[in-house]
Amino acid sequence: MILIYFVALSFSLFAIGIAGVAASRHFLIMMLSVEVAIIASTLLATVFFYFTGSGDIVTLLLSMWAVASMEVVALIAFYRYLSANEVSLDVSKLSKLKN
Amino acid sequence: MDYVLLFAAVATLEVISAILIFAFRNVLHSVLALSMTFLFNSVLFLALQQTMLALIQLFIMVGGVSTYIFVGVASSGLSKFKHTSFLALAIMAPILIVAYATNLFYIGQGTAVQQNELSGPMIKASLSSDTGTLYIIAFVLFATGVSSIVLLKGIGAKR
Repeated sequence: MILIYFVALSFSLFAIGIAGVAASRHFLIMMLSVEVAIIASTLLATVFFYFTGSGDIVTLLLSMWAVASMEVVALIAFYRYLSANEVSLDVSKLSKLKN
Repeated sequence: MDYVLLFAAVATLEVISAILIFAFRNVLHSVLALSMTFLFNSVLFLALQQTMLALIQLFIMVGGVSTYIFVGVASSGLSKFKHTSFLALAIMAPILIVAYATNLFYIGQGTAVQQNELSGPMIKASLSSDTGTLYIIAFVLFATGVSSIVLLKGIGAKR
């Protein structure tokens, strides 16, 4: 496998994730975009570990997955709160957290 | 050459899945697209001979994260509005890709492949033969779970 193909794919996914965060107005879609950026990072880390063999990839990946999981926990909590209080999920309409 | 074609197919599907997150108006469908992105990413881990990491990716991201999002999103009302500016996405994504791609010129292509404790022949003998089977089992389980969610939602919508 050629390194540069995987790196290019990781960069593309990361760019899509970052662009999605910037272009989207929906709270949930923005968080999903961050998830895309995170998996691009995990792929890039694994690719470089595969080709260089340096570093502890398991610890790094587990910590990244833990971050992604905790982000989902916060996402669901916010989403449920916003839905229950009938607050719009359009972030451009959010002015303050209080109703 | 076969590996390159396989990589190209999986990479294309992964990028399409990532873009479909923004294309669907229904957020549940966007979460489905995210799950597919995770799935194809785990397949790429297999291509890097990281079978254990692919399995963990499948369990954590598809089985854990995606399922949790499904439950959280599907259990409450969904807002449907035009949430993504495709023009902004189409402009920013290529610019970012080009910006990151400039670093590719500094990466050598003749780097040797390394092995670690989680790849190919380095996995303990008792586990290496089962990792592929475990992956297939996990894949089938999660595919069944996601499919049933979609099916149940479709049945509920008709009623």
